[in-house]
Amino acid sequence: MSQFLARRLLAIVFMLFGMSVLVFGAMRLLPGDIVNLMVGMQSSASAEQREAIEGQYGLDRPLVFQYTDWMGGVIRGDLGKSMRSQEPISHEIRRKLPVTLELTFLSLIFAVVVAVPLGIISAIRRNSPVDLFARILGVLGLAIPNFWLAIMLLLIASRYFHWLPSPVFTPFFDDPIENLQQMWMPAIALGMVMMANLMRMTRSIMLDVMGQDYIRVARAKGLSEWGVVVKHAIKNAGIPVITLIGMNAGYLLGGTVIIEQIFGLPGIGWMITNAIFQRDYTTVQSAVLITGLLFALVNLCVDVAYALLDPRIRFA
Amino acid sequence: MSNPVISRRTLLGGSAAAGAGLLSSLSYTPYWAAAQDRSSAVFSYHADPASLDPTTCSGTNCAYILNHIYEGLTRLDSDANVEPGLAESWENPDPLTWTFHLRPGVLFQNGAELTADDVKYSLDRVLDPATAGSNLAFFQAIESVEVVDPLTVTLHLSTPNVSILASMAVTGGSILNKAWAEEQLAGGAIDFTSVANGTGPYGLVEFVSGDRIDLVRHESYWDTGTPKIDDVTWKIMQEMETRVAALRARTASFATIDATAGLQVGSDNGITIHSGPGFSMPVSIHNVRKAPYDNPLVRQAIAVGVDRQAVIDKVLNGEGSLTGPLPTGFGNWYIPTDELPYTVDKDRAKELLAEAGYPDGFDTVILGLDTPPYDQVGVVYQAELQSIGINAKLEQTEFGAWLEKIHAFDYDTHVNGYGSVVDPEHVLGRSFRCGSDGNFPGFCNEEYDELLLQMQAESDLAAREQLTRQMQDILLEDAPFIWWCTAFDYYATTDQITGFERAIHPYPREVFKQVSVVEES
Repeated sequence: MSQFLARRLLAIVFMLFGMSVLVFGAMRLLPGDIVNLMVGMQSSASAEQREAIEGQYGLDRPLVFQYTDWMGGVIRGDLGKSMRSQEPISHEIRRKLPVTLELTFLSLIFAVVVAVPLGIISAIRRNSPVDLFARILGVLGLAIPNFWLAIMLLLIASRYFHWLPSPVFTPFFDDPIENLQQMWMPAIALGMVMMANLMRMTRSIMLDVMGQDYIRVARAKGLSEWGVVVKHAIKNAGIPVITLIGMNAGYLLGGTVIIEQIFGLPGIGWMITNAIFQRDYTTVQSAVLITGLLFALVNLCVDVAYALLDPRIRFA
Repeated sequence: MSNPVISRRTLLGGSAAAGAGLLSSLSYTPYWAAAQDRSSAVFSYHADPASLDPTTCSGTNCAYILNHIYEGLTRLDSDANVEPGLAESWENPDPLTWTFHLRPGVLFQNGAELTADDVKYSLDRVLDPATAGSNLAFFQAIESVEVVDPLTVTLHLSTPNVSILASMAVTGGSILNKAWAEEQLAGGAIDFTSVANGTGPYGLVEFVSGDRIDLVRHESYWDTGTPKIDDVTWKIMQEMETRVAALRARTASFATIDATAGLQVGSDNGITIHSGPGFSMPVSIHNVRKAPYDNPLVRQAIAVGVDRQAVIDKVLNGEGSLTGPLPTGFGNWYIPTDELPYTVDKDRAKELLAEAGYPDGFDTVILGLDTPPYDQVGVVYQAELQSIGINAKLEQTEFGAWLEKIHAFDYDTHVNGYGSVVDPEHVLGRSFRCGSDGNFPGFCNEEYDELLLQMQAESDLAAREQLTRQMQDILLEDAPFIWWCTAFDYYATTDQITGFERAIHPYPREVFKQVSVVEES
């Protein structure tokens, strides 16, 4: 186990290194740079002005040094300063990452809490009205793009109910009620696709399991239907469902970009998008690195959980 | 140019009412009603300012918010006329000398009193190339700033330039407090995201980038009686749908919107749309340095062959007006619509092309922008060129990539937009003077430059208007640009506030000072 963890952590370090080079390179390859954007469109940059700005941001140094300067800082725990605002990037991330994590987490909760029971019920009561409803919801959930759903939620709430939460984001620990009022719509919009996926998966696995011989045996030995479902079916259906949840957590993290933008939530997805448009190299590099680290850690947790749940899987 | 907003068609449908039950069960106190005896309001705006440094960040997105915190020596009324700001009066004893008399007793938000030293410090900061001030071009005529006494400051210019008065009103000319700035600089760079200290009507409480800027009334603001709202939250909402929803739910009482949103909220009784010609002008700029655009006949063929009304009708839903080189409605500087020499004549265009040696037209590439409304302007432009036999290919890119090509003058003809002129010289000088940094077409005309020199030095208003007209006539004749139209701009306010007046320019220092919260009965 500890050997497995050590190996995986080492792999994460290599992955992050590769990612940092990629992001660093991709940002420099983008046409247009921060100098153009600083000068703006009122005039072209004079050579003197260009040099001054490049000097200020160290952009006149060879690329390798620019990379090592940044990386050296990151290793010492200093993510650098935003080129545009001069604000330390760690401040910004510390403020924005929790918003994105909360959004991801709430979407996950929404998806699991709705999908798993609905999937189980619709498998057990196959072809019942509940099953029909679940199947329609499943198809709709997959077909509706999350940004459309987000805009519809906003439109319905504001136009027909004349209600919206306060536009000023309130952290959960400052005022949980206010925070949840702000987060439920984004969480549903973001979690809908995953909910649909998970529900369909749960339903089909449950159908599969319910047709197995050991279920017939369980019924034959006189267990109640409830006992059959809880003791035998769900236990066996659980593992693929948990795998799917783990895989989707990463997907949710990526989907926050557009949802944050629509609901005006100050999360890290929006922060990275804006920084790309402004060619704020350091901010993009550091924020992507942190997001990547997070993604890798979530995947690691899922792998560990997976192995703990299924005794057949060994840490190899 | 203001930052564009991604707009998606709003589809009305009856589905997705999933949260309906939950909605009605929540009781909610609106943010703006929460404060007891202080008045407060939420204004929603479409873009995040990149920084809160008034010297380096002076695009529209920054200007709109920074003009509430900082002020310059002069300011503009809502029709863009120059009026006294931090300077009470000024005189211009000779064309190269401008003396400003500061308003006595003006206090910064930290309590320090405004002096001539602060003015010198701020203007020197703008002029220092290392500052990378984005309005630098407006101030380049200043050779030195001299402190005469604590309330008098004299600018010595290298060339006569009357537009220096209007330049003092742009965000780049904001006055910082010298002692404060030096104190901040002691710890390295000034972190403008967390601190601000201007003389303006509002002080900074907190800036959370991507979310909001909290402002509080400057209690000892020199213009007594204003501002009227104690606490203002400047909320960034990039999506227009979000801003419209916030207006409807009354969680925001002001929003920047566009034409389609205007149609959407038109049915809501408590929302007022403020619209009219603004300073935003979609234009196409030819690269006069290159063939075939170096041939005036080709430019004239395009000028007579394109239908400018097509952009107004197809892109702006009819809400724009034909325009010359200066935005329609700009003081007395612009050419009235009925005097514009625009008659569409496709046959004449083809004749001119043949005369220029291109009887079968030619191939060209339009460098376009991928953001509304410029993306659609590009499409109309392409169609209009094709209608006179010019085979145009449209290449649309993202703003940063587009800007790199613009700065390198690497284009045949491109789509661009004006947005922040406050004096006619800012456009006519920068964009067309031979060799200027901002001369994107590469236009060069001796007679024009001669008139420009006279115009820069002319302090008599009527004579200056006359010169401005002559210069515009030369431009229309030579046609390095297609000035498509002056677009309308749109703001919406709800019944929670009163007193908003739309300004035609993007430096609305006065606008929010007069706005007050409507008392709830």
